Amino acid sequence: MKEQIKCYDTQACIRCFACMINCSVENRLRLQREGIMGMEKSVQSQMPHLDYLKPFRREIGVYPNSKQVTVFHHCNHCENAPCQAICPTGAISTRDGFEVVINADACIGCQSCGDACPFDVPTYSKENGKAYKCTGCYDRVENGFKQSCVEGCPTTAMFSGSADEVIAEAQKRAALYSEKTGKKYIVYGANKLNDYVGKLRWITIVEENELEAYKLDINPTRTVMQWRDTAKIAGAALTVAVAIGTTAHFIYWLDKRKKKIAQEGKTHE
Amino acid sequence: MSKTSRRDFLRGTVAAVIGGNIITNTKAEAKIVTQVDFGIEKKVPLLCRMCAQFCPMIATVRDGKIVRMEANMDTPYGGICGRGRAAMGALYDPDRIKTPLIRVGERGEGKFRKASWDEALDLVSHKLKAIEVENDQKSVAFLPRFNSAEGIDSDFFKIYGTPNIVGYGDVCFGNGLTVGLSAVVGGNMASGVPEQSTGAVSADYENAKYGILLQRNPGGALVCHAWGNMFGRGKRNGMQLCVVDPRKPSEAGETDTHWVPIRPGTDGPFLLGLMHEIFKNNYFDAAYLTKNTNSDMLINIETGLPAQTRKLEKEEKGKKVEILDYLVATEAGFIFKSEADKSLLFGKFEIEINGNKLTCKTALEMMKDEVSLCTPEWTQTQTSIPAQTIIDVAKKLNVAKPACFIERGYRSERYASSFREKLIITQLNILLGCFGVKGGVFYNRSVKTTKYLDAPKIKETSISKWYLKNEPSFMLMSAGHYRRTWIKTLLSEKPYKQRVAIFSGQNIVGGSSGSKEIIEGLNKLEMIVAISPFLNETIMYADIVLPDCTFMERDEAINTAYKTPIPTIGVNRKAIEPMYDSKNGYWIIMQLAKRTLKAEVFEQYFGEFEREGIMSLWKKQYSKLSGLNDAEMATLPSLESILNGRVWVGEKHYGSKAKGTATGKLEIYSTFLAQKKVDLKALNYDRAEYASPLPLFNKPFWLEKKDTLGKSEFIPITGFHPLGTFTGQQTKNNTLLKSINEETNTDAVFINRKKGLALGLKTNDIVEIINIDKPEMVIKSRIVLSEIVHPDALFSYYGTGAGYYNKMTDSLRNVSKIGFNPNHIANFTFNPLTAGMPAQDFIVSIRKSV
Repeated sequence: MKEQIKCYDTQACIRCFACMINCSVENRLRLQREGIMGMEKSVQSQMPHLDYLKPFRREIGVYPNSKQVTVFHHCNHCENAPCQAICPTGAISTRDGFEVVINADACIGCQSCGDACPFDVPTYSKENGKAYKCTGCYDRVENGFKQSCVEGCPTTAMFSGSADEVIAEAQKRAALYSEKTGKKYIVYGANKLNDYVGKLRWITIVEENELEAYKLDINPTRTVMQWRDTAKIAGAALTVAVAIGTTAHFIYWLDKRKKKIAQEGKTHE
Repeated sequence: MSKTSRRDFLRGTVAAVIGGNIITNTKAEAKIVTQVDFGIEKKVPLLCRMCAQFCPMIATVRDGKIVRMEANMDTPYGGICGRGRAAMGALYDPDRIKTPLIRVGERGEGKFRKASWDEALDLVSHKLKAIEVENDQKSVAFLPRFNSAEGIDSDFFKIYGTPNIVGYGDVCFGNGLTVGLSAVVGGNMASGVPEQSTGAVSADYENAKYGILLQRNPGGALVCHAWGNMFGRGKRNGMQLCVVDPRKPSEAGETDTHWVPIRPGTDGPFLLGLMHEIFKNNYFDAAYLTKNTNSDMLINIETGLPAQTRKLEKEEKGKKVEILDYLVATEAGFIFKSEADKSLLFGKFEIEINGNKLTCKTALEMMKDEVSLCTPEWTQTQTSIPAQTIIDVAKKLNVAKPACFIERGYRSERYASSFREKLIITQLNILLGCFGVKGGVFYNRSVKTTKYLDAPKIKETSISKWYLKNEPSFMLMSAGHYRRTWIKTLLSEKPYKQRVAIFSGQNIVGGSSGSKEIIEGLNKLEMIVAISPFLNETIMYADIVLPDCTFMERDEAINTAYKTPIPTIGVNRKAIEPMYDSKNGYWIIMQLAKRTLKAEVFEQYFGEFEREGIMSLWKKQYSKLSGLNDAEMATLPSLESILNGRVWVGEKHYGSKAKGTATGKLEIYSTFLAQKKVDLKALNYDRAEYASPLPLFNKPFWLEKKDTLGKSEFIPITGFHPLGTFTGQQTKNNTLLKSINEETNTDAVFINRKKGLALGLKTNDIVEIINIDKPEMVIKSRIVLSEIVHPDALFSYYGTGAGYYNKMTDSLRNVSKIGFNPNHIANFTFNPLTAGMPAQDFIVSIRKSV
């Protein structure tokens, strides 16, 4: 299986939301395929947890020197996926195609992944007590189809393929936009951002001055990971028994935390 | 770990993750997903009708359910938008109309009882037969939209004997967009007014270097196949855009476009300001104008008519055509155009013709003089656009020309001045030499199929033709799209009374402005029938409701009407059986025909269809195609192949030839309009200037009323949401679109933040909105204070709000009970000459709801 990376082009995008609708539909199709819920029923309720790709609208500036931007909120499928590194049960893995996925059967709902993710992506579902996020449509990709969002795009503002070809196309586009507009366009995430996330497998063509507007962090990090790393190093230095004990305690702590959060969720309702 | 075991492990997790990631109460069964799981499904070709544009798409049917939609990539412009992707949300909408209904409450109350098809159809056919006995068939109107039985529905009503097949286009393109183009480039003169189809031309986004978007943005008013697709390619090719709009649309580009906020309704002065700069700086393309246009035509400045003309026979493609030859000025004197090698584009002359001394100017000189006072400074006072911006934009057009365009716009009927703006846009594109040229604006090509039924000619005059003949203020109206003038007829009973209306997909109460008067008109009818899969405002007033199925549940006629540069042939096939007790439109029309027409008449027209079904329609349609060249004809596939989902496409051509103007030229100075203006003056019509062939500023109604708006007053502008469809429930009540509709505030109104703060408002406040002319009608809406809206504008997405007539929201689970629909409280007025609706040409006032 060849690696797959995805690219979103802020210049070619016409903000029609076809990618997001198609993502939501594909997840319903998966429900039907698994015999869980037919399409007819699934399109009759909103189920926000089926939307892996979400828009956030924000306005920047003051009239008339103002604009609105649509931030695409999605999993970046990081090279050094912090969610995977922190997951205490090994529920998160990176597939051969570079998709970082959560195996819900192994997920205990501790939400560490959400804490570790600098892009606030993994989301906890109260319905089944597990975390969910974009799977990179690896089931489609491994069967020779494009990701649902990519397939949905009518203007090829989203495209995917091997890292080489996608990055080459993205850089070509960025160079053309730079030339035509006189502003500098870059490919966010094509190169290593930092040690915390490494490279991204969902890259974005964007004007350099607009990185902040689109919430594209050039140094994405979270402090929670340092704590986890300390535990890991400490664990390795100690005797096996102690190490097991530490890990066990860690899982115990996470489990307690999960219950606490569930409790908080209830009181909020 | 060995390779094999690792793969097995991953396989195991495939199903686990698929099942488990999606939140359910039951545990996913572990199942290995393979290619077969994707391949065994049935694929059915569709033409999407989530809006009205027929984008080719493919439905995947699995276990009897449609589970996903894809673009049919059998065309170079393949692509479907989010609405098409969400078609299942409409198909499986639990709030669809499930059975025939008969009204039990008052009209408007929305109280119905269920009925059988027999009962409902008999009620309609008995009424139709009773009217036929009285020989009053003209009092029956059929109002089609989203046709459910293309090829037989309108024809049935013609065979029955009514001339009134009433189109909806006077809320959209009719007739400002149509005449604003065709008066200059020519069109079909069958009704006496030049007409071309709504998709007659495209901007060549793919090849344009620079373009001005106004009155439409191709991402919001999304016609994915082909305009959205072409627009995306243009952006990918680095096309630069200037967006002139009172509200900045994200769909046109967020960080990469130059937004020029403009005062609502003042596109006219902006366009005139551009034209002023083009003449002042010689940005026009003189060679193009000499070759392709009547810029050199000598015009009598007294009458505005050509100084002298003669008829000339010419051969064109083996056919003899008559054209108007006209006088031009040359170095050697005044001679007819057909005899002139070189003519002057500018100049004022004294000419003696038949003993009369005339003062004449060339057409271009007339235009230049007309805009001589439209300086950038004047434009600034009218539009609120800085003078320097006008100068800069004109300069950019000059640098990019001819690979530049001024967007022709789409839904024209917004202001009294709309037709005038469309005319000036056409003139500007021609002045820059970009009309018909690569990177500019060019003609789309299309193919025509053979008509299935030859309905007999009807002796009675249609309502529209009566107005065209008798009402000077409607002299440029559409003969086919006249539902607002039809309402005028309901109210006045002139030229004759209307007794029955059959709406097929049309929603006149929600979709045409001045709903109060529209309802008054409807209430005079003896019977209202509505055919629709979904509820809408008009259905609340229907006596009989017939649920037709959606496009996904029926076979349809072959379609060739697309907004594509290239001729395209496609067909919509049935993906699943009609849901509930809905029926396909062909069945409904056939039933009405059978129950209404005399047996021999039914046999004559519908016998074949009854025996062979829709195959007889397809065969006839495909038997002879017109509009294609020989090379294209040679590539046509078999009918079977089309029916199996092949979308056939032809070639794209550029070209700057006129399409049937009197002179055979692109008439930058329209001789048709020049004559109309003379006629209207003779009839003492006070707005005769609205027919002028010259570029001049005709004010919208609201500016005639007030020059400056009060601090709580706004112009209610609208724009399309890429996930919205006019007033249709297929997108409004669609669960799949709900999250994004919420995030983008489709149910709210947007005003300028500073102006809102001054009124003591904050985002999410509920406001009451009134038309200052109809203060008794109050609409409540949530408000958003925004930095991307002009202070004079109150923006809402078109057709998304519940509005004043919001009774039906009781039956719709995803539709907010509040929200703005300007149509409901607008004035029942008409755009001068074109008889379209001045959709947003009135003033609203807002106050905080307490």
